[in-house]
Amino acid sequence: MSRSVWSKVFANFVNSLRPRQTKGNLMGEDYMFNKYYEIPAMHSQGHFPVHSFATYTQKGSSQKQSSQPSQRNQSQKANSSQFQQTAQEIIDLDRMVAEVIQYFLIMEQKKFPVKRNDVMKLVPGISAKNFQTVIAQAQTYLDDVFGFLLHEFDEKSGHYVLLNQVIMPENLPHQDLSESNTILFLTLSAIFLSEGCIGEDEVWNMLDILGYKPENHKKLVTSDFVRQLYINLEVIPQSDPPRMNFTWGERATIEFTKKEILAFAAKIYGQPPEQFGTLWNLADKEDKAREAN
Amino acid sequence: MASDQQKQILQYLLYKPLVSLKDLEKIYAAAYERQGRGEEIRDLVRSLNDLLKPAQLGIKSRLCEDNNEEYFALINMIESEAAKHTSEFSPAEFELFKWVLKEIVSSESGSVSSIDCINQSSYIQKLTKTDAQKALDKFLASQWLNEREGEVSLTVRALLELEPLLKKLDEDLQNCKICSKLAVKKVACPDCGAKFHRYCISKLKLKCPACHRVWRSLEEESTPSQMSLSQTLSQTSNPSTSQVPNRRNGGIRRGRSHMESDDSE
Repeated sequence: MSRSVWSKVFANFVNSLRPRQTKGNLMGEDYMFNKYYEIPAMHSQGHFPVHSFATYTQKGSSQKQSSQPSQRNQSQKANSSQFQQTAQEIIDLDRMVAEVIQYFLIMEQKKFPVKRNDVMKLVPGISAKNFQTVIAQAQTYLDDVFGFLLHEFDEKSGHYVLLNQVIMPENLPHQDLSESNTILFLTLSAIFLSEGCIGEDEVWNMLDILGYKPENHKKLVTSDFVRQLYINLEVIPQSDPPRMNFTWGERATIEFTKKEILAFAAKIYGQPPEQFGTLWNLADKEDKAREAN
Repeated sequence: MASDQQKQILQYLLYKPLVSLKDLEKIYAAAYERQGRGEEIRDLVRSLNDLLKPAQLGIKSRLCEDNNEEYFALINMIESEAAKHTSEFSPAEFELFKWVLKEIVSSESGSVSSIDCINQSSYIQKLTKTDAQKALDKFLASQWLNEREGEVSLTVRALLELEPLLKKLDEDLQNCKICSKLAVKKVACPDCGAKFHRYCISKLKLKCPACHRVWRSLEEESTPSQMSLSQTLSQTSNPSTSQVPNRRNGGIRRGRSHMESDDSE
């Protein structure tokens, strides 16, 4: 029943003279094909096992899915030259990816697009070199786990937005059915019904009639919606006093189908969407084009 | 890779991070289109936590201090830069929030009156009383605080996610010795001063596990400072319970003086 205490003491002493392992041992893989590495603990020195996981490796579906990473202390070294990074670098990268993921999720709730510069400023340790890697990992994770597509806008390169791919069941409400959403839909419908471009006065009139006082909501429409890339503003040249036109922003085109907006407008007018003539045709054409893609 | 149902549930939790066990059962039913058994709900939480690990998020649960029901919250497991710099509150609102937290943890009842919260706006710059009311509504809507009958207290979400911050705000804050979870709404044993949740100590039939003293009732044992108050309160009610049996013997003899000496003891 001996615990061989003295031999353990001696072994610890000898180990303390050796430099501590810096590369993690490959412990195993999980069902998402993440590789888990561990630097063994030296409890007598107060060191705890250091765990980390490396990038997703998009292996083919023929790869057998392994179960939970084993906690056995294998003396296997990390395989493949890809993982010559030290354990510390892996930990830092993981942490950066987590920060980016969280940042996107938080900004998504506010519906503001994320600029590349914001990410660079916010996440400690991120540089131009690893930005693409970090974004790519975050993108894969957000799609695999939440069903969000990380979309970069073409107009202004470096603007990112999360688009929801998941259809929520009806009795699981999760949209913010607030006033600002209603006003957004109303504005987008108005623009659509005016064949893509409408003067600001008509929008204020419409909102007023429906009970939304323009003074209260002007900032929302001209500032917030534009910032969120839902609508675009154009100043009408040679107008005095300067008036603006609204058009659909890039985010609106991606997030909402014309059919959705038409259905909304149809409800307001009490007319079935099919009776909207050319607009219905437009919406239908867009649907078919999307399906073809 | 999350299943469609798991993605739906995660998206719901992003929108409403705090759910009761009953809510979670309803969510399960909505996503999987059938009632889930108790084990399945636990498995769901476990699998979601595995999915959330790389993002340093997690779903934790604990009992609510008010009604002893189990609540689940999607919280941040680290103090991320992202969370620090993208607060949903303005600096003035955040100052009010911190004040409310401090008042709640330092109070005996684990709550602060909503009127006091709004009046606190006079000490905070750039915060009018209307702003304070709006801020309070924001805190309630984002599930950090609860309000009941004018008293504002912490939700399970705040207890789980803000624990390090709360411990910093008040050093005396302890965990309940019975369930070892943070105790903000607490009662203290008058002999040894150990803090417990009301439900926890009730389950142990009012026997303090540290000093083995059996409490007579929850009300008496609130705090030493409230002892005198509760003593006078219990005097008016106790004569009818504990002293009547004694009085029965002497009642016939004492007769009229019985009535006069009622409240003098």
